[in-house]
Amino acid sequence: MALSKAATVQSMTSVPDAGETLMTDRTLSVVVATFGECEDAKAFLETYRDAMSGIVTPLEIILVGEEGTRDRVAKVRDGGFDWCELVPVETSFAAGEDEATKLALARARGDLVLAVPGRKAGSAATIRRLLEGLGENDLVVGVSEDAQKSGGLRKNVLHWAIRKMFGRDYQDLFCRFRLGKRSVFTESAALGVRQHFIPLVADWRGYNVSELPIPAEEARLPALSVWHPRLRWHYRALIDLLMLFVVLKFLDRPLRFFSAIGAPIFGLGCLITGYLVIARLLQLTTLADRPLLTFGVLMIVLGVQVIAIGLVGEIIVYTSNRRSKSYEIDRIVSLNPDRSSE
Amino acid sequence: MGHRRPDISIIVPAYNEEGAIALLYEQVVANVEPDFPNFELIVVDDGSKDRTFEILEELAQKDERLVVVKFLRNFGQTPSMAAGIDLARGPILVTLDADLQNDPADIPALVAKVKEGYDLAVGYRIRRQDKFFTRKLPSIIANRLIGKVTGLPIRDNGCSLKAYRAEVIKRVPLYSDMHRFIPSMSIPSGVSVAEVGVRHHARQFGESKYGLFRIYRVFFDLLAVRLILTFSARPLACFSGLFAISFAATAGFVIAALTSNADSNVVFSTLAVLSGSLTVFLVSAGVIVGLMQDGARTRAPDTRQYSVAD
Repeated sequence: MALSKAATVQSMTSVPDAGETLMTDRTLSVVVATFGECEDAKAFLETYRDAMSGIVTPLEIILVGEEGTRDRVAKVRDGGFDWCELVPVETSFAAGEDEATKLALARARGDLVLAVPGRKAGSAATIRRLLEGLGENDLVVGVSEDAQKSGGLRKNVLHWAIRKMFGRDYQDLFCRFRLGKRSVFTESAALGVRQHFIPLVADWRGYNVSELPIPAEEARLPALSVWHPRLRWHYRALIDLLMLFVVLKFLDRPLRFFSAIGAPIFGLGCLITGYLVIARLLQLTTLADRPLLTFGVLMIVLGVQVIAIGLVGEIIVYTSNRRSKSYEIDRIVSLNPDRSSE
Repeated sequence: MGHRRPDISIIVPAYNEEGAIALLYEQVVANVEPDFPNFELIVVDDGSKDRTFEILEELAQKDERLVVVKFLRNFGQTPSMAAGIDLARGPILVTLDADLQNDPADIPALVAKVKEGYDLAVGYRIRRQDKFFTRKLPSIIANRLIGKVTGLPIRDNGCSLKAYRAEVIKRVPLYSDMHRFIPSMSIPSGVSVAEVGVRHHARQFGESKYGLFRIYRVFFDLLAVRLILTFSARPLACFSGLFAISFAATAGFVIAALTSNADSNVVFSTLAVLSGSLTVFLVSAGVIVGLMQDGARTRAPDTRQYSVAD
């Protein structure tokens, strides 16, 4: 597992004027999961067209928003915008940004996906920086230039938790500018996690993830971000993070997790019950007036139930895995032409 | 050489083994070629961060018997082994680690055992070159435990040098860290197993990817293997043992509650309710497992319940 590696934050300097050479052999889908936050759709899309001019022409722009998104996109098209294919996707407000991201990724066809916020369009420098920064990485995520400036207890707690659980820190998980291989995005988002945690999932699964500084005003948070200063949001985010950690760590071996909880409970129950039974056999006490006996048996029952849930989990993993491949091959090198084409 | 089916396939998972991999290739060729010139060596690069893949790529340009598989990312040893097994074309498959602690000179002896008629030839390390307390002692305990629980007493489950009949190993489901339990997981296929003493060398390159903490993992993995073996044999009986105990306890507590005095009555009634709830839970779990088995059977491509007429 590539968890011990230090976070890679690339320098903001030396961004080449690489132009179209950055994207010679791969197609790009642009995903805007929060298109509802965009006030002027036409201006937003034109800004991207201008920013990407000479760098890359995307295969499509997928715009996910609430009811009325199709009409908004139709108006832009009617206004003569024919730079690339526009794919409107409507979703309910309740579905939220995480579901919107998943929907958009399911529709994407490009080799690469550029995820951007709907609130403010990115500049040419940002787009170029992300494309250049991708290099050998599987995913690059933007970091607001002033991410280090803002502090506070809640942010420190989050960073501490991420460091402890995932072995590396991310300076700005809330930045919406991300570029990566489509397969990495879809595999990471398939767990149904908060879209903020996509880099964590990708990193956990061994993909190369890198952070890349981008201008602060573009990475600035939208008005209704999860980072809104309310304790409830932070509490939920932390719980989600904890759940993500448990799921990732024990997804393949649920019994390891459930046994770690159930075995000590079961052991404690056996100790208590055993002590009382021995005491009763030695005529030291009666069982009828010992509530501890009920507690001991309760512990045994609970322990068995928790371990049994783990065993059911193991059977689920076994039945679902025995017919599916648990690996993905990048390429096969062999002089034998039959092999190379497998 | 034509592209006919190889005599044996040797599968080597490799992760960050730039120091050892070229030497391993040379040793495999030197030791296997005299007996089996038409072998294939499948090295699975499990997303190495060092030059392992580049070195292998160079070697593969010179020898068509070498097949290099590069994973998209680091998946782990079991998926690496599974990929090698899936791609292998030989009738006999041999697995070994890339760290050169196994000696490729032992491969012919293992293959000979399979040719004798055994389905699996499992190596056990003679004079193992590892630390006693952190590696050898946990291994001894784990092997005894595995033998007791699975009913297949193998001296050294941790030795990666093994040879398999292809049709047997290709049927074994491999996921998570199950590569340690391949012989045990083969039990439902009714395998015959032979043990062969093999050489073992001290680690010269890289670092060990295991530690003392694996005892804890092995213990719970073993519990899972036991369950899977039971599940494979009698899917509806997974929880029957626990259910039997729980049901008997409930019945006992109910009888005790009915026959005891007023003070004891409360205690025994409470215990009867607790063990009764456990009984209901275990029945429910058993039914769910049975339903899953049924779902898995109907999804499996090789268990069609119909045949197509000519």
